Amino acid sequence: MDLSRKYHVTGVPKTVVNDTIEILGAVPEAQFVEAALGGEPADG
Amino acid sequence: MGLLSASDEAVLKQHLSAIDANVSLLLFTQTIGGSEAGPVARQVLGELASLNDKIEIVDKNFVLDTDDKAKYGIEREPAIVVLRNGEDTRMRFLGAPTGYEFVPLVEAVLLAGTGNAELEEATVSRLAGVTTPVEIKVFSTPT
Repeated sequence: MDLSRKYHVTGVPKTVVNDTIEILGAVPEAQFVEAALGGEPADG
Repeated sequence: MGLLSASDEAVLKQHLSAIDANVSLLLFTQTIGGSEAGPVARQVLGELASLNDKIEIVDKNFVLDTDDKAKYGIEREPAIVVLRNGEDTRMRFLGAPTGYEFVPLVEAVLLAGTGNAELEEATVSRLAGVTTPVEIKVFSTPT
């Protein structure tokens, strides 16, 4: 419960990446990867 | 009484037959004053492990096993650490993996046991280029 409060989880699934990026709901794989790696430059 | 029906067990057993590596599930619980989810997690893991000889449960004491807590970064209980042939897969589960959380547990065990993530080719090459640690927390509910 403490974690869900800390990360303001009001609906699931909710994904939190590196404590900063939030992804709500179930999203397509490619979209999820790009959202999760938002701060990471693409290879090449 | 078991949590899984006989037909669920049969289906699961077939899925789990793909496992070719040893999967250890380290379960951290606190016996006295711990979460009521601890015994539930123990039962779920027990039923899962009974379906395949390559899956083992290793009980860890959340209060006493401080070295392992530090090693695996465990700050809450119950917590499950998934190992593949004794190596940390870095997959963790917090709370009791019941209801809708049971399938992700099975998927994690399959991933650890087969090494097959079943990701799209583009995803695999994208992930190969990641150079900094990425911590992903997924929140779900059992119902």
